[in-house]
Amino acid sequence: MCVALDARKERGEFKDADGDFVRATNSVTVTASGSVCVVTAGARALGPYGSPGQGMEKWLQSKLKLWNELPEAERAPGAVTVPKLEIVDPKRAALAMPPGTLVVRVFNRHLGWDKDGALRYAVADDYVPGTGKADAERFAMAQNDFMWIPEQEWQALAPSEPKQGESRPAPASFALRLFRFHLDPARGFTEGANFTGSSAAAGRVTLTVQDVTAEKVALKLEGHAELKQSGREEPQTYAPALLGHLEYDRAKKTFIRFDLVALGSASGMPCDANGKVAFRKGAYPVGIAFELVVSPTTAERLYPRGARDNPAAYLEPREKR
Amino acid sequence: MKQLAARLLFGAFAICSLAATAADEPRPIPLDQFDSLHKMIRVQPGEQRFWKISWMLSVTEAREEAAKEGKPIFVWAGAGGAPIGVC
Repeated sequence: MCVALDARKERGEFKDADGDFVRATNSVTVTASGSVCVVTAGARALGPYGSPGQGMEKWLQSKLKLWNELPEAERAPGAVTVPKLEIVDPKRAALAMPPGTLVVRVFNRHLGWDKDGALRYAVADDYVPGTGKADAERFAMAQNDFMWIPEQEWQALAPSEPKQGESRPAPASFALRLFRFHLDPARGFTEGANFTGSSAAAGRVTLTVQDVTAEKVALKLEGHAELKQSGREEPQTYAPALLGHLEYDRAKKTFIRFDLVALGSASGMPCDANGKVAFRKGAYPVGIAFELVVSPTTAERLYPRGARDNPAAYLEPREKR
Repeated sequence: MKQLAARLLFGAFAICSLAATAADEPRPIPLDQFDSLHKMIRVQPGEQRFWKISWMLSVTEAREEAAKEGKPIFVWAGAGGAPIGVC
């Protein structure tokens, strides 16, 4: 049984039975490198492991040995009764996915340019001197997030009377959510979030009806964003072009495709805890890919990073006055 | 090997006009490169292997399943969020 948790919230914010369990078993550590632990359903901690690495398999075997040494009353199927979670902390409840939400996977990836300007995957030489091979490989991998599109909003994305060639701006709330919460080159590198104060004027998102049949409506999403904010050492920027292909099933009344790409130059980030530009210097390309999750699993219902600090501001972003 | 494979795989982008500098306006993404770019950016085989595991997000639900099946619970936590997402 595997559970993935937000350490800072479970340990420090959520005042309910789940938070109490985490605190009682000391099963999470608020650390940037993450933590793992093995516990029992009856709230016995079998021990933490500071940071996963070479010794993980051996460590897991040692925890399994401890588990097998427990009395039957603590480990036999059906032996432990788990109390129902009757009171849920309102902060936890606010992070639950609203009914009807469209879930979109988001992958951020740092890329590089070859000498001839061709796009390529990032390599170790792209990162600051001294970056280890394992870190460089990790930085070059896709980072992960989710986008939630509330039901009323994705319904507004699909035109009720579509006409081929017709163009219109995407709903302002969609554009704002994109600019503020999903076009962040540092996503996955640091706990912080960038460009969360962006306005609708930071870019443009246009939808054009490409094709209309009795079964579906195909839409093209085009646009760009020019995101900027001040940084301790230099301005932080990301200026991606946007292109997407969306398909709406008219019978099922839902989207069956939501593929989007953002691609452009980033600079001035990611930064370390002191605000200094870390990992990578200068301008470099960042690509962000979005794709629909048709039937989200339990894990795919994880709240987006952008919703973590203020779910209402994420779900209903509004222009600041 | 991974770097070599990446170079071979994306040699097709050698003539693409997506190269830009920070000072440039973002250039439109060519329609004919959309699929390749989307595939290039999204998760690749061998990345994010932790998604092969059926993670739960609720302590109580994990405890209920663990108690029912007689299994221990593996907890993975991140300071900035559940590590299967961002952290």
